[in-house]
Amino acid sequence: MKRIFLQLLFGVTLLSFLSCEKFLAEEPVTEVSIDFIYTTPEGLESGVNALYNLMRNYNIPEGEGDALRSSLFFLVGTDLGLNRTWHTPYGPNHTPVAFPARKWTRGYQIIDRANAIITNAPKVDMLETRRNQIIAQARMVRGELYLDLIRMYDNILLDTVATTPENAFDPKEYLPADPIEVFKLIDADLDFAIQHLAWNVDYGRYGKGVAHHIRGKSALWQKKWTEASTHFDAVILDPTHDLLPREQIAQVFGQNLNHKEALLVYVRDEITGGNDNLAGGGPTWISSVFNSRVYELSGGEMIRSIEYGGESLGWSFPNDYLRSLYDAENDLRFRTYYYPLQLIVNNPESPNFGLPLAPDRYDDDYRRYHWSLKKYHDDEKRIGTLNSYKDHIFYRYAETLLLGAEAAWRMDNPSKALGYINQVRNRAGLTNFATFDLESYLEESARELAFENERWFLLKRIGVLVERVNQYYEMGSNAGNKAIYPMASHMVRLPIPQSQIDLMGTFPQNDGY
Amino acid sequence: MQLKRLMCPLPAYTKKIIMRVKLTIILVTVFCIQLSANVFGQKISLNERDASLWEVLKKIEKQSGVTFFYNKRDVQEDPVTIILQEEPLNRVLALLFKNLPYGYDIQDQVVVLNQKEKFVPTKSRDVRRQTIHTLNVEAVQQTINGTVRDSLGVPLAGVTVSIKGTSLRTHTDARGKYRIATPEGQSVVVFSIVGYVSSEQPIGEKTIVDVMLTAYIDDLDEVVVVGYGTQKKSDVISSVVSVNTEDVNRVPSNDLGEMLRGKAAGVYVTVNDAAPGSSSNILIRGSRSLTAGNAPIVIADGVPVGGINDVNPNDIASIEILKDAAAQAIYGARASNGVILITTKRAKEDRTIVDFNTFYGGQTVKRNFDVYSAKEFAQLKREAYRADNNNQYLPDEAIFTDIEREVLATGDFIDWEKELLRIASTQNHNLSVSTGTAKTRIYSGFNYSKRQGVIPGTDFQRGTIRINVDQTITDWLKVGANTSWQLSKNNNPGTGETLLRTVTTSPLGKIYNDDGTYRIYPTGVQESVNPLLDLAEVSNTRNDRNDIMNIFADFTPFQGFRYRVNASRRSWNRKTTHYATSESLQGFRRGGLGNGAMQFEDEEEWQLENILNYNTSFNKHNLASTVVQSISQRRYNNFRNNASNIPNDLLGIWGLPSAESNIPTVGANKRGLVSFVGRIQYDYDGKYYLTASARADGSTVFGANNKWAYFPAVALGWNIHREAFMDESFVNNLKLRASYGSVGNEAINPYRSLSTAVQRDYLFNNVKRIGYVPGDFLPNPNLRWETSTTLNTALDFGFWNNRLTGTFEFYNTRTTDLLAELSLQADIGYARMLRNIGEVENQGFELNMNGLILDKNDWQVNLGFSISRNRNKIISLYGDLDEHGNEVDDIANQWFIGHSKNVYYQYRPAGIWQQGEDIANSHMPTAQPGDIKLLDSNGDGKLTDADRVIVPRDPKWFGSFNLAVNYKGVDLAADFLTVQGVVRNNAFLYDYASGGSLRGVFNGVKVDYWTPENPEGNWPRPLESNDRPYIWTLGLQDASYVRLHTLTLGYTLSSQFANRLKVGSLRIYSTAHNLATWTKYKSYSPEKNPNEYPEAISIVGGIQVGF
Repeated sequence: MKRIFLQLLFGVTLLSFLSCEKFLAEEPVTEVSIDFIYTTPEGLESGVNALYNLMRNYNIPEGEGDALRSSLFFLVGTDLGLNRTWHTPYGPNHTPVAFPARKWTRGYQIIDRANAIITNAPKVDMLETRRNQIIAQARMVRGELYLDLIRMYDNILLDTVATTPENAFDPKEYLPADPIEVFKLIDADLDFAIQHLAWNVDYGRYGKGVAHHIRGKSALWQKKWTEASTHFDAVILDPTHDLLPREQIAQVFGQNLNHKEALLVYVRDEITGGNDNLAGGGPTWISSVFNSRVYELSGGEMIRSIEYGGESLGWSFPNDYLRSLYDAENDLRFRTYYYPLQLIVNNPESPNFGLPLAPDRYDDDYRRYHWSLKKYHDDEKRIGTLNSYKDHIFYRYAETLLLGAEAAWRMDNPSKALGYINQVRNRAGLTNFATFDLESYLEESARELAFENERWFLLKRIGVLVERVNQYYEMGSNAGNKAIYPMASHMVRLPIPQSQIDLMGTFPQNDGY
Repeated sequence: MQLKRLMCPLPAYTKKIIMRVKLTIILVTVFCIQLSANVFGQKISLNERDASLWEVLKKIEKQSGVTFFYNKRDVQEDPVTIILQEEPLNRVLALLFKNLPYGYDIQDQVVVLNQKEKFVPTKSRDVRRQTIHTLNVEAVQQTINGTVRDSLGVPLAGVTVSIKGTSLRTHTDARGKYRIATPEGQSVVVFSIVGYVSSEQPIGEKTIVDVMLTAYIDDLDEVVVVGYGTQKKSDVISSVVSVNTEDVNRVPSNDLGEMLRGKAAGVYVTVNDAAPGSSSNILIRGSRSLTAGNAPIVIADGVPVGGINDVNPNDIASIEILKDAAAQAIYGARASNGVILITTKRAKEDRTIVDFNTFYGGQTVKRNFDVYSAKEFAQLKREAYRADNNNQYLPDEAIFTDIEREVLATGDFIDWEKELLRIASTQNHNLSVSTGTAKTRIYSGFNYSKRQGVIPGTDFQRGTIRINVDQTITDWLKVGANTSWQLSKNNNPGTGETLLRTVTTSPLGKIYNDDGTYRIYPTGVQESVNPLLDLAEVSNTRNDRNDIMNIFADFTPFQGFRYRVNASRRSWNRKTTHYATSESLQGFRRGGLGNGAMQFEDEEEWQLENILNYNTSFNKHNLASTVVQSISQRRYNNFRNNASNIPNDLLGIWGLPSAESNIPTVGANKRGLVSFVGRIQYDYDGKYYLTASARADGSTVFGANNKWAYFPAVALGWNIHREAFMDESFVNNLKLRASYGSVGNEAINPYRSLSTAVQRDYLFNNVKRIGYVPGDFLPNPNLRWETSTTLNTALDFGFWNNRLTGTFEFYNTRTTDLLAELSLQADIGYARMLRNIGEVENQGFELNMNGLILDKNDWQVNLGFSISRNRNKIISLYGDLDEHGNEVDDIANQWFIGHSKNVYYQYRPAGIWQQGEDIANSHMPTAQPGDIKLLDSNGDGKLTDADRVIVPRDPKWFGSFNLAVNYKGVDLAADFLTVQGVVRNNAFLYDYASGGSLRGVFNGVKVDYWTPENPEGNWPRPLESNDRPYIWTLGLQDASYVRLHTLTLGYTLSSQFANRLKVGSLRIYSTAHNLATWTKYKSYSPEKNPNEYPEAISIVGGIQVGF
C-alpha cells in the first residue's frame, strides 16, 4: 500500500511541476494586447480613432467638476464673460493645487499616444498613403496639443518619445523646453498633416482645412505674419470651407453641424454614448451653463421648456461690455447667438400663456434671468436635465477669416484684411468696415466668436488679456456686487499643477504662483 | 464551547476499561441512529430467574434501546435473578450490578461495563432479595437527577457525574441530563469534564441537582486549529487566536465581520457599508500594502471562500485567526494580511444533537448631529445672500422660491429624517441536526435570516444549507464532504443619494404635488430633489447563489501517517437587475423614459491539495511533519447590459429589448496559484518547541520572470510552567514563544504586468469606428511578490488555576517590495503604475487578560479586556535622497518617510478672519473677514504648499472590554469596544453637495458659523455665490468612539421546567447591538459619513432550544 501511495504522490507532484509554467502564464481574454495597436495597419487605424475620442474628452469633456471647469475657464474668463458662481475664474481656486490639472496631464497622455503611433507606424508593413494618413492625424493631434499647452502654460515639457515600460524611468531632467524648439515641432507636425490630409474628410475627422487653420495660429504666435497669412489664405481659397450664407446663419450653431463653416466638430450621440469612453461620448453641461433659470422666476408663469433650454445652471453669461458691442437692431448674431431678451409666458396654466412676460417679472439676478448665450442651445435636450448630447463646433471658418484678416493687416495689407473681416460682418447683416484697427478687430472677433474658446488666447497673444479682463470681466451674484476677483498679472499663464510639480521635482512653477 | 465539547479527548475512564469489548460496530449503528431518545425515560420490566447475565443485558437492550459494550468471555457465567416492574434504566442497572463485580458507565445510548475497582463480593448474590422489596429501595438508596450546563446555559453532554468516594459514575446525555443512584450515606456528587472546572455538590435531601460548570478561561487542553492540522493549545507556539464562537453568535447581525468585532486582539473591524447584506472591512495588525489588498484570507475547512459571509455563523465550530508569520506561513501565498480559519461543525459518533435558535427584533439609528431647523435654514440663506450683497440683507422674495416663502408662512415644515427612516425588523432562524454512527456521520445546518433596512425598500434575505458528511470506508480510508449552498436576495435602490438629500433638502418645502404624487423639487430649488422619489421609483435587486463543494479522502496506511487529498470547487453567481421607472428622477431627466441595467456575474474557484502528515514520538521527542502541494484557480466573468430610454414601464427591466440604446460591457479574468509547502514541528517533553516551515508559491499575476517566491518561517517555544522549578507555584501556565518568518501578498488585479489596451471608439460620419489605446496604467513586466517578514514574541500566562489568564504579544512586521500604485509625471503618458517599492513597518502589541473574578455556587463573574496598538511607518519609498541625504517623500501620493501610509496632508485651519484684523499684511492678503484663517505652519508669512501639515488617520489604539455574569439560570454579558485616535474627513462639514459649504442652497450639518454679529462662530461666513476658500480644510474630525457593542440578558429554564415543555433545554434571551456609542464625530456612525448607510442599533429577543 505504501508503494502505491508514494507512486501516486510522485505522479501528482511531477505532473503539477510540469504544467506549472503554462498554468502561471497570463492571457487576458477581454482585452487586446498593445502589440496589436502598433504592429498592424488595423491596429494603427484603431489607435488613431481612439485619439479622436481622447481629444473630445480633452477639449469638451462630459459632465461637471474639474473637467467642465477646465473648459469653461477659457470660454468665460475673458473680457466678454460674466460669472455668477462655482468655477469662478481668477477666484481663490486659481492656484497650483486647486486649478484643474487635466489640461496638462491629459494633454501629455494624448501626446504620448500620438508619439507611439508616429514612432511605430513607419515600422509596419502597409500602403504608404494609408500610413501617411495615419501619421498625419497623429501629428495633427500632437501639434494641436503642443500649441495648446504652450499658449496656456508658456513653460512646458517637450517629449516626443513614446513611453514603454522599459524607457519610462530613464533619467530625465525636468526643465522648461525652449519655446523655439516647441514651435519647431508644432510646425513640422502640422506641415506633415497639411501635406497628407485631404480637404474633404468624414464628418468628425481632421482635414486639410483645420490643419492649415491651426498651423496659421502657430505662425501668429510666432509673429510670422506671412506664414500665417499663407495658411489662412489656403483655407479661404479652397472651396471646401466657407461661411454659411446670411439666411442660414441660424444653422451655424444649429442641430446639424455638418456644414461648410465647420473646420472641426466634436461629435456626440446619446444612443452610442453614455460616457466619454464610448463612441457617442458622455453628456456635457455646456448648454446648461449659459442658460438662466427662467422657471424660477416668481409668479409661476414660466416653466421648464425646450425653447429656453430646459433645466439650467445659470452660471455664466455674456456681460454688459459684450452687449454694448452689438447693434441689437441689425446684427443678426444678436438674435441667433443669444436668447431673446423678452420671455414669452409658457405655463399653459397661466392666463398670460403665449403673451410676453410682464416687465416687473424679470428678477435679473444672473440666475433666474439674464441675457443668455444660445450658441450651445440643444433643441433635442430634455427639459428635466442639464445633459446635452449636441455636437460641438470647435474650429470654424469665421475664425479663419478673422485671423486671416489680422495676419493680412499685420503684413500691411489692409484691403485684404478688410475683405476678410467684412465677409464676417456682411453675413451678420452689417455694413462694411472702412478701416481696420486692432480695437475694431477685437470687437468684431468678440461679436462673432464670443464664448468659443479662442477669445482668451487671442487676447493673450496680442498682450491685452490682463488689462481687458480687469476692465470688462464681471463676477458676482445678486445684483450690485461684482468684480470681486481681479485677474493678477501672473494669471496670464496657468499654474503648473502642484501634483506635477511635486512629481517632477525640478520643474519650476510659473512666476507669481 | 460547543467545539470544546466535541473535540475533547475520550474521558480518562475509558482507559480503565478492563474488558475490551469487541462488539461489532454495526450493532452499535443499528441501535444508535435515532434522535436523542432519553434512555432514562424508558421503563423496563424484567422477570429473569437464574438467567445468564448477557441474556439479561440483551433484554435490557431490547427494551431500552441502549447498547452494552462488553466482552462475552469476560461476563461471568453465574446466573442472576432480577424481577422488577416498570423501573427506569438507572434503577435497573443499579440493582443489577449492585452485587456484581462490574461497574458501568452510561454515555448516551451506550453502557460500558467495567470492573469495579475495589470489589468486595457480598455474601449473597441474590438480587431478588432486594428486588422483592422494590418499594424500600428508596430508603437505602437515592436517585438524583438534573441537568449540567455551561455558563451560558447551554447543556453540556458527556459530563462525568460520579458519587464521591464510590466508583459509581454516569455521563450526561446530549441534553445535559443525568440520573445517578447514590448509595446510602454518600452525600457528594462530582461533576467533571475536560475543559471545565470540576464541581462538587452536596446532595443532602435533594433529588434534583442542577449544576453549571465554568469553562477554564484559557484551557490548555483545548484543541486549536492551525494551518493543515490541529494542535493542543499548550503546544501552539505561533500567534493563533481562537475566537469564542458563542460570543460571536451572540451578536445579532448577518455579517460575520461585524460579529467578530472586538473578539480578538489585533483584529480591527470597520463598517464597509451598513446596508442590509453588506460586509465589513477586517484588518489584522494594521494594513501593510500601499495598493495591493489588505484584507485577510478566509479559509473554511481548508478551502478559501469568496467572503467571510459565505459561511453561516451558526455552522461554525471554531474560528482561528493566524497573526504571525509562523502561523500564516503555511498559507503564505495569500497570508500576508492574516488568515481567518473557519472550521465548520461535524457530527460526532453515536450522538444526535438537534439545536434550534431563533431571534427577532427591531432596528433603528441614532443621529449624532443636528441639521438646521426651518427657521435656522431660512436665516442661513439670508446670511448667504447678504454676504454677496455688500452686507445688505435682500428681501425674502429675492432669496426664496415661491414654495419656500409659502411654507415659511404656514409653518408646515418637513422633518425629512422622520419621513425617510423606519423601525426595521431583523430575524434569524437556525436549525442544526448532527447525527452519527461509527461509520457515517452527518451534520446539517439550515439557516434563514432576513434583515430589513432602516431605509424603506432595502432588505436582505439569506438562506444557507450546509451538509458535512464523514464516512469511514475501511480502517485506512475515510472520505468526507463539506457542502454549502447559499441563496441570498438583496433589495437596495441605492440609498447614498437618498440619505444625502435627507440631510441636504431644506425643511421649507412640500413633499407631494396636489395630485398626491411626489414633487420632484420639494422646495422649488432645482438642486434639491425629493429624497423619497427614487426610493419609490427605483428598484435594484441582487440575487446571489453561492455554493461550495469540498470532498476529501484520508488515507492512513500506517501508524502516524496520513495522506489527505482535498478537492474543492466554489462557485458564485450574481444576477443584478436595476430599474428606474419613467417617474423616477432619471426617468424625468430622460424625458419620461425608463432606464436600467441587467448584469450577470459569476466566479468559480477550484483547489486541489495533497497533504501528507507524519507524526512520530520516541522517548520524549515528538515530531510532526507536513508536506502540502496545492494548486488553485479562480475565474470571473461579467456581463452587463445598460438599457437607456425604455419607452414604458410595463415590463420594467425585462423590457430592455425595447430600449433605444443597449450598451453591453463584458469583463473576464483568471488567476491561479501553485504552492509547495513543508513544515516540521518538534517538541521535547511538551517543554521545548521548534517549528520550521518553508514554502514556494507561484502566482499568475506577476511578471513572467517573477512568478515564484519562497517564504520560510521558524518558531520557538518554551513551556516554563512545566519545568520542575515551577512546581508548587501559583503559576499554572507560562509560555514564552517567538517566531520569525515571511509571507507574501499577491492581492492585485490580474494582467497588471501586461500591456493591454482599452477601447475608445469614435463616430466618423456618424458611424462607429473601433479605437484602441493603452489606458491610464503603465504595465510593469517586472512586477513581483510583496513580502512581509514578521518577528513575533509573546508570553502566555495563567495563574491560580487559570482564574487569571492572558497573553501579551509584541510584533514587528517589515513589508518590502510593496505593491504600490504610483502617480506618474504627465510626460510619461500614463497616470499610474503598479511597482514594487520601498518598505513599510507595522509594529505593535496586543494584550488580553481574562479573570474569573467571582466563582461561588450561584455566582460567576468574568471580566476580560484586550488592547491592541499598531503603528504603521513608511521606512523607505524609492530611495531618492535630497541634498541633506534624507529620503524624499512622495507628496503626490501623500506618502511620507517616517509617517504612517494613511495620512491627510493639507492646510490646517486656525480660526476665522475677524473684522479689524490686518489681513492685507497677513499670509492671506486677499482673505475677507469671515473667511478661514489657515495656519502658516512654517511661519514665513506666506501661504505656500509648505504650510500643509501631516495628520495621521489610523487609530492610536483600540480595545474591548467584556463582562459576563451568571446567577443561577440568568446570564448577563456586556461587550464594550473602543477605538481611539482615529481621524476622518467629514465632507458634511465643508462640501457643497453635502450641504457643508454654507451656501444657503442645501441644508446640512449644523455648525456655528461666523457673521459680523457672531464673531465667535468657528465656521466661515455663509456665502451664496461660492464656497469659502479653504473651507475644505474643516473636514478633519476626531472619530474616536466608545461603544456598547452587545448587551445580552438570558435566562435558562431549569431542567424540570424544560422537561415539562418536552425539550432538552431552553434559553430565552434578549440582545442589544450597538446600543450606545459615545463619539464626537458628526454622523450616524463614527465610521461612516452621514450619506452612507447608517449602522443600526438593534434589539432582538431570541430562543435557543435543544432537543
